[in-house]
Amino acid sequence: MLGSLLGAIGQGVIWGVMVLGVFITYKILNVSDLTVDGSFATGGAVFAIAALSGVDSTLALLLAMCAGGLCGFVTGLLHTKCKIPAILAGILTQLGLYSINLRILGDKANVSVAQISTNISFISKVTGLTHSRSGMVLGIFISIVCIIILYTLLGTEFGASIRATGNNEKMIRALGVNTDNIKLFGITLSNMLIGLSGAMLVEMNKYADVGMGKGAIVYGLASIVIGEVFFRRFSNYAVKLFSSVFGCILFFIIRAIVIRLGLKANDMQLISAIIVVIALAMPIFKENMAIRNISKNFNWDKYRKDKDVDEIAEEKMDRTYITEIGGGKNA
Amino acid sequence: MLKISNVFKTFNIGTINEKRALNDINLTLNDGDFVTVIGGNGAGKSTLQNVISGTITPDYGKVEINGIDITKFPEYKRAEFIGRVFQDPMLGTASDMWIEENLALAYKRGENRSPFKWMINNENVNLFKNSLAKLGLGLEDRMKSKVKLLSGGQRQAITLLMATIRKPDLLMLDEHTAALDPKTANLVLTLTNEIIEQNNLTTLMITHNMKDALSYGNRLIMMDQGKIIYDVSGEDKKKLTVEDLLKKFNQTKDAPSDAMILG
Repeated sequence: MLGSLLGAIGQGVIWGVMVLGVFITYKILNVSDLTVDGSFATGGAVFAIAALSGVDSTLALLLAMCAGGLCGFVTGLLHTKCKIPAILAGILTQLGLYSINLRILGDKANVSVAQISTNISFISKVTGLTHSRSGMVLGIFISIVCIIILYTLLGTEFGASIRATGNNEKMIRALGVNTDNIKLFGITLSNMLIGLSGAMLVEMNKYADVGMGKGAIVYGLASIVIGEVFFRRFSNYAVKLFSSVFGCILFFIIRAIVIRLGLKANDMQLISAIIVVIALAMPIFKENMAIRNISKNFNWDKYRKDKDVDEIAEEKMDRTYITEIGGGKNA
Repeated sequence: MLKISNVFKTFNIGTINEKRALNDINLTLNDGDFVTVIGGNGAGKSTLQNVISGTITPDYGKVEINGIDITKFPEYKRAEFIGRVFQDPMLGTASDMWIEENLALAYKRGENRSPFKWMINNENVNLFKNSLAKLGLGLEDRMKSKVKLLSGGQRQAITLLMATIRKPDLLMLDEHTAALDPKTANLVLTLTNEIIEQNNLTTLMITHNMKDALSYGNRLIMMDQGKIIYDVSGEDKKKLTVEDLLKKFNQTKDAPSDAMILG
């Protein structure tokens, strides 16, 4: 039991880096980027082929990161320069990437890297931990580094203009920011992390698969919304970033439980889709419920008893057209 | 300062909806001019504004600020010269960010934004606090509140501060009180006037309210069918009354819109 729990955490932190990437586009830039499924596999494929052809595995991770970034850059160009809606631009890149990924893998659906030494096998050799524990160590380390870098970036002048682009594009453009370039940068950065995550997963699973990124975007969104359930009240970006990785860990724990209950790993696609739907629809249901409760419990008689009707009418008249400005000490 | 020469703009060329929005506009604003722009719907006020701010490229003509030809500059590059306040209070601020973050974004208007410098530091926070205190709305105690918690009037006041916290060469106000109730609109206008006078800002204010157009600024421009049909400044403007303006409007081909009459 503990073994599969730790295994789930290991998967969670490795995929968590991908979730950080999704967080950048979906939550900060407010752009739905569907390149993910493709660039995740591209990262994995590039890592596998590079490592197999003798490139140092750390360098191979960096190469995978760049490859992912390149995929994002293409989507970003389609979106900002060709004005293709972000969702469609992402789908187009993702579709094209399937062919490219197959090419990278030498027209094979999957390629094994079990024979070569990777970062995980290095950690394993140094610390004496098992392969999956070493993967967890690598995942935790990379996740923390990514969270620190992203958090620092978002607090800078440049990072603030990224946040502002997602929040109010027209305004920040009027303040002198080239929002197209910001989006291009954001989508590229996001896919760099996604490519890196894919490469780490290849290290963990010891093989690269052309379909390994399938459903990644939904896993990412599910992780973000699961994290939000626990950390909704915090507005600090360090917490929000951590919450995304935390959500991803929980996601894989749920997945482990589901598999233990006898469902298949492939059922997770359906389950994660359902989780995202519930999470996205929840605020609407909650609001409707709240309104219904308020009107059900509203005691009109009591209100009328306290004031006579004329007074209520007068009160309404008074309020028409007047909004108080200020509300501070001068109000 | 601002110099617009022979600017033309036609929309939907070659279709039945063809509309010449700007027809040979020539306009020069001197340093410290506070110009109010009036005109019926479709007179070309907004198109003129958009040509200056860069959201629309003119078919022909030249826009210069401080002698620099900015006709081909994209919108974001013009931010170096121009501070803007929009009609919609939601458009001028980033609602999910704090008041001080919004001001910090505006403080770097038109400048490079470094990835190696914190957006907020003690020095600029103090500056923001003092500027907010001058508005007299008590916002200086709520620097870490998200802007979306504020009323439309408060947001518009902050947008005004954002547009002017770094002195712009040109301040553009696009009916910036039109979405506010009369009392709040008055307050925001008074603030606007104070800020413009204190900093001696060159300003272009579009308005639908003739009274405001008369009581603020040193120069008034009336537009109709893409042309400037009336340009009055100084003593002549001070003598002008709403009746005079209405008379002028009735001479134009377009009957004045309801908003004009009510103004």
